Amino acid sequence: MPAYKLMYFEAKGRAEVIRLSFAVAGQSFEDKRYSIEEWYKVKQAIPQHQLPCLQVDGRFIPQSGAIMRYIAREFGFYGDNNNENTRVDVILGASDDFLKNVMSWYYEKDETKKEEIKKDLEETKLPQFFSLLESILKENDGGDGYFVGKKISLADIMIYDITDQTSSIAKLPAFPPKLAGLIDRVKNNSKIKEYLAKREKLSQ
Amino acid sequence: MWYFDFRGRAEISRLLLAAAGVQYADDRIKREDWPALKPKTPQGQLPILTIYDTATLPQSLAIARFLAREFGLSGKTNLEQAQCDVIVQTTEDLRAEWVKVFREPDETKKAELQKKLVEEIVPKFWKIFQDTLSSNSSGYMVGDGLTLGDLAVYDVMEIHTRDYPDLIKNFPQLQTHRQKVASIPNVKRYLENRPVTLF
Repeated sequence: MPAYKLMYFEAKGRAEVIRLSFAVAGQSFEDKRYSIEEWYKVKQAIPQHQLPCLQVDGRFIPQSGAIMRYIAREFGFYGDNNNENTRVDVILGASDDFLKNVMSWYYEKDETKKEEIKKDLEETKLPQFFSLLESILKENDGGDGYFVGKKISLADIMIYDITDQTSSIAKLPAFPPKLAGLIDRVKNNSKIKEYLAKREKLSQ
Repeated sequence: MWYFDFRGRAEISRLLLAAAGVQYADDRIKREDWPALKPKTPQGQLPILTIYDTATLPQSLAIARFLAREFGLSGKTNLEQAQCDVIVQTTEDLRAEWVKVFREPDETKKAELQKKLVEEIVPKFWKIFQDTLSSNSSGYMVGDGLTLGDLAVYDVMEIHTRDYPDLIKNFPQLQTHRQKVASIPNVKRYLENRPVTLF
């Protein structure tokens, strides 16, 4: 069994979807969290000098998008054929597009502009994103199951994580009905439930 | 394939289709026709790929990965696929830096950003690509043959190779790689016949 080491900061950020993925996979891993000082010491040794980075069998895999897909493929939740893999990728792509709006807010230094971005997120971007997710979800099993195929996949995990993290910086609109059901289903997945309980404990 | 009349986010997939020797319709939408088409697309964006009039795929990277897997150009093992993904995600990061400069409305700021892009950012990314190439012994980016990784690097390097021809002289292995990719018969034929656009 290879040893996995996920390296990131003490934060959810771009690593959390990977931590959730390891949980769904039922795979233990070293959850290395660097302080800023520690990071400056190891930075040069990490490919692309960025985090997150996965170390597996002595190899480094940088880029969160590559890491999450690697784990999902390894443990069988990236879809079962090319069509399903692609459906996962379409949803990840839509999430990446939405995330750009959150990153605009994150990097904006001017307080007035920052407020405007937040307002736009809450009044326009979030409702549009949720509406898109609702229609994509309904394409599969009428929206009463998962985003892809018949079981939880990286797409479901990503949507749970991105809505969870965005809720800490903006007020989310109400989830449309099928999406609400999906978020509940993900939260109540036994392995995710166990992981979230531990995470909740650590933050107290 | 539906996109605008430039390389942009569709070119990686056009290169994949060319490399695979697959016939397809390369529909280039005129700017003035886009508003009418936009609401008919899955996410209000281009490119989209329609397959036998039955499926419509949005998201440029979903399309590229779909085609790469379909035509055996995505890597042979999970690790190789991850290595292709690393390259694709890295080219996206470089593309994002270029887009930032492209979209800057203030001309003075734009000139400053362009300078930084060409003097610092592009060479930083090109070094990552060259290091990836050097750590693989086949002359290809991943594994022992052509993959999505090679085409993604070829594509993202196009604009700065053309606009700043001296830049690549600092990256001899990348220069060899570009020639290698461009001389693959299917790719060569495509490159010789494709529309020439600014970006």
